[in-house]
Amino acid sequence: MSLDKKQVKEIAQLARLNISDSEAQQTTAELNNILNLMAELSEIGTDNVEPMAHPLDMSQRLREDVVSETDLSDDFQAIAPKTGKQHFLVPTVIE
Amino acid sequence: MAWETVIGLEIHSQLSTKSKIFSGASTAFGAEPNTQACAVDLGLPGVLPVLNKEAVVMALRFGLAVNAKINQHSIFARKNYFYPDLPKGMRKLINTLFLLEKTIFIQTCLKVIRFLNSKFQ
Amino acid sequence: MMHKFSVSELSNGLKNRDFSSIELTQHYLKRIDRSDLNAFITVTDELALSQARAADAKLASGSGSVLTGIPYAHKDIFCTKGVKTSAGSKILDPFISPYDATLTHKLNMEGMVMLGKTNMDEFAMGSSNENSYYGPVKNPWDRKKVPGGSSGGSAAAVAARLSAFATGTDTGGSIRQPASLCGITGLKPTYGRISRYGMIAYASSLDQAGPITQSAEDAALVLNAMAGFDDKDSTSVNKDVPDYTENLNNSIKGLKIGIPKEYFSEGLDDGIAKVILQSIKEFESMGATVEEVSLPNSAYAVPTYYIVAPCECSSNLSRLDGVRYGYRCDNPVDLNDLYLRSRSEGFGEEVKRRIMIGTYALSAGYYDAYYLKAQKVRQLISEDFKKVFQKVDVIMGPVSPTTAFEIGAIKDSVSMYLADIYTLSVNLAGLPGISIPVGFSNNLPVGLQMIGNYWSEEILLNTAHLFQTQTDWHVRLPENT
Repeated sequence: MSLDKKQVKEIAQLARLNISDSEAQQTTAELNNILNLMAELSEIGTDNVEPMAHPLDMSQRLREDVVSETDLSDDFQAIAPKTGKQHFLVPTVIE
Repeated sequence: MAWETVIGLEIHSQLSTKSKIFSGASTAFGAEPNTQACAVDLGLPGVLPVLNKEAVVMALRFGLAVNAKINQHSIFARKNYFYPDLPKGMRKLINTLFLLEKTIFIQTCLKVIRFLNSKFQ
Repeated sequence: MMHKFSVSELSNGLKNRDFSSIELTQHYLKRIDRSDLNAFITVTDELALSQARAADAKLASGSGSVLTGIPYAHKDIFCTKGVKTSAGSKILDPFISPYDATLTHKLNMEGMVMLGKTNMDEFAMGSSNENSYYGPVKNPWDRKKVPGGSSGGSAAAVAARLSAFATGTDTGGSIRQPASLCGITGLKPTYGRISRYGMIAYASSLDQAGPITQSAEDAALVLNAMAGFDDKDSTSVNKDVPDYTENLNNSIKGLKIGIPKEYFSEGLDDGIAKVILQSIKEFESMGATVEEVSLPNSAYAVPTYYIVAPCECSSNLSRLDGVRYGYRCDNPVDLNDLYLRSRSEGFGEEVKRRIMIGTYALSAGYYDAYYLKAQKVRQLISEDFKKVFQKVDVIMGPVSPTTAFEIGAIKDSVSMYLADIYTLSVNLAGLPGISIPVGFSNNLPVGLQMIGNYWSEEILLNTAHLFQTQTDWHVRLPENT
């Protein structure tokens, strides 16, 4: 499976990464190089093989419904790029 | 031209747990903004979610109440997208907890929809 | 020369008051200051000195533990409260963590002294420590060469005795490979042994923390403090932590060693193969038996890992968006611009490549062919190991197909990925693995990898320790140390 520049730009947008036109050429080549490596997997038969998401055979541990956290909003907002009125600020989203 | 009405109902129901689904932060109503958003909720680097047992119990209770088929094995999947109110850039969804197909609940909903449909023709 | 002592010797020295933690800490801080290896991103001298003072007080009152007062270097992937935690990346360069990782907290509770945060490949993605925003780390054995990665700073620090022990993380070999390239000992325990809470996630189903030390004995001492259940980490296993030092000297007579035939094929440098096979004879002289085994799906480890890990990382790194912490671009015109420029300016090239590969492989239409397929092959790779461990106790082989290579020599990603061939499967299966120095080739260190069955850290440490009582590779030092 080989990617073209257009697809690479679409992937970049999905991942919120900026790829300029000049970078797109090189990035496309690099990604295709990596995808060639992955193509090897199509050689191996995996019918009836269970996918392994995780090395441990365990199910999700559950937590008791207890409030354990206190208000540390000052600490968290102290490290934020932009705050105001106890909110994290970003450019306007809804016109 | 004849139009066919298609209605979908997406129903959200907030579970009345004391703490959040993946963190021990409080769900109490009325607090000041962000005072109940802990490190896990804010998606700080390195934090990890731990699932609230009561949330699972409540959801299963609803499933049993509407006579749904409860699955013994369910998986959380991540739905990845970017939005400022989505600190981790993903939602953890579980879509296999129980099936509401052919339950009384769904049949009742369908009856209501057919009734409304017939009124507006 | 205090810096030549192992953790075990330092522990005795502190207990006997041969020296104080303050003296030790000041000694290491001076060495770090004079070092040209670029092993540290942040040196926490004031914090270290205050921790050393507290440790000395504890030791004086007799309430210290075996690790109290011992200085260490902490990989910059672990959150440390009030201290910059960058993961080797510009996007976290401004990030002062407001909380401690569980591992940080545990080592603090032991009364250990944190000298600083070590340099690493950005977000643990790399095998050479060349992918760091803070510049490459140099190998103490030859400054033109890489120390390995991603825990390159930690490995270089221990090899150059800038600290007696350092923490590392291993997702595809990032403890074992730098340990091998730097001639020291590095252990990746079974997945779930050490808490991942506060350890910045790269690939959640593969990441695991571990000790980087001068010896297996030191690794055992430190593992006692690092290991254990953490209720903040759903993947932490609730299993007792044995005393890993207790059985270090058990005889290995009758220990069955398996050598995978797939690991000794053409990609492996002859000099390394010779050193590895020679070292295995040492185990035979102690009564172990050796047989050839097969891990038939070994060749698929590289493509499997390089789908699974990028997929998981593309999701894990979504939280780095310039909104709540970390780097934000200047004057974003709208939300999309904020995301695009913060992430593009904040992430390095290799990280961006892996995010894009992961995004593509998880996207609708490709998920089955890539991610799901890789998960199935992962199952096959794990089963290979399960079958082999029915016949042998430990698998041995090389860590890296080459010794340390020149900084800048490997320019394309795929060539770099192929160098991980021997270490990746261990993470895919979640097994424990250790790398110990067993000789030199072209004057550069060679590491032997030992892979054990789940929860067999004691066997690995015991086997490694006995080797280290019969040989002295682990006490060799780079010139002028």
